[in-house]
Amino acid sequence: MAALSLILKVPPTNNQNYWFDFVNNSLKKCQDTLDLIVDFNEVKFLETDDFVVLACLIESFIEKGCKSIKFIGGTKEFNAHLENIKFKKYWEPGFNRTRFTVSRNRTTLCLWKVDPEMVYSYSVHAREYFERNFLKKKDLLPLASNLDEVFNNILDHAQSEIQGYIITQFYPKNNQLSFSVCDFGIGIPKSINTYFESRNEPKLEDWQTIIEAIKLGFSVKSNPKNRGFGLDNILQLTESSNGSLIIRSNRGYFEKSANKNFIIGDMPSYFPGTLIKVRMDLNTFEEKDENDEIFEF
Amino acid sequence: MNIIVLDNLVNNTSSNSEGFVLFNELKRCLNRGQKVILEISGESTLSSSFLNSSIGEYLDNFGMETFKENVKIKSNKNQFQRLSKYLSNYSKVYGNRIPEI
Repeated sequence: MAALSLILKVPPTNNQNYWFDFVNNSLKKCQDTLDLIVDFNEVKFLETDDFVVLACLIESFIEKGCKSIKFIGGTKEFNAHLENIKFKKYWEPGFNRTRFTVSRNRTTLCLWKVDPEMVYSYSVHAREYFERNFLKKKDLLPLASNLDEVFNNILDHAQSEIQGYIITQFYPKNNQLSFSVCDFGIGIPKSINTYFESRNEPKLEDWQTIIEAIKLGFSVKSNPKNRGFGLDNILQLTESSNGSLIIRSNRGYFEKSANKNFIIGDMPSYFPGTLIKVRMDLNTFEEKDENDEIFEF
Repeated sequence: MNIIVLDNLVNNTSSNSEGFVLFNELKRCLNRGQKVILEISGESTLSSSFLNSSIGEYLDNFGMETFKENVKIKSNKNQFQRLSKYLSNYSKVYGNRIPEI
């Protein structure tokens, strides 16, 4: 018997385990909900991570037959931000979440539901958008390249009903840029341990699988041409751009900031998919180079 | 010397499928005994998926020496460095052995 409505009380930010428990508990009610009310009464601010997780969560309700999404509560400032990035409009009838939505906040590149047909346009769009609006002289190609690597990972590995959500945020005060990508797929640990199982190799702890995934040359060959270069590329770029990479998948946690040791381990709460956050210092990016030459290897 | 303008050949420089388009073109030139200048714009992302199915596939089939002898790159310095990094990673992972295909 379907429940008529469900209120999702969105937790305040900064507590990862609280958030993940909220997601898991909410997902259990997906099947039975026709009307969803998203309650922001406890929320003053959400990180980019929180936005993409919440978007995937709402999308899960829609996938399971939920007919309407309403939003209540939240401070005036928070609601102004939601208004600027048009968050509340995303699940209105007729709204196309797989097309790029112009944000009124210039420093935010729209929340976007990852669509395989548009996936490479987003990375080009992101590079052009931030070069045009903020960093005319910088070569932001590594940003586009990094986005492609993350998208290819989702498309190849996630096996998710929902392809995922991304949001990109620029911080003009210090020229930092971060993007968060989330999917509710099978997760890196499950993907890798299934691969090991098929080869009669011992399973690893969740955090160990993320270390494995990042190793240059490691691939579960979900696409026969994969060679295990993609996540290493992201790691190298965050290192060279004085940035950071955080991956949360199932119970595994991986964090690497430039010039610091890894922070790794299993989380108390399970995350039903993969959540990746990349931060880059764009001051470290090369200047645009317009001069072509002929090179030999 | 044959000039391949990447932007005119492929729809994107991110996906495996478009990487194969480049591989097939490079292979066609090699089979005809033509050396190649591959012209890459400063705006091509060159993801690992694209490079795996183009340059990586070429290296799997014909080897690093053949690639270096037959392919030159016309691009800016940043792009050339990205390609060099790919070749370096390929060598680190596969050395002289032929990868499992």
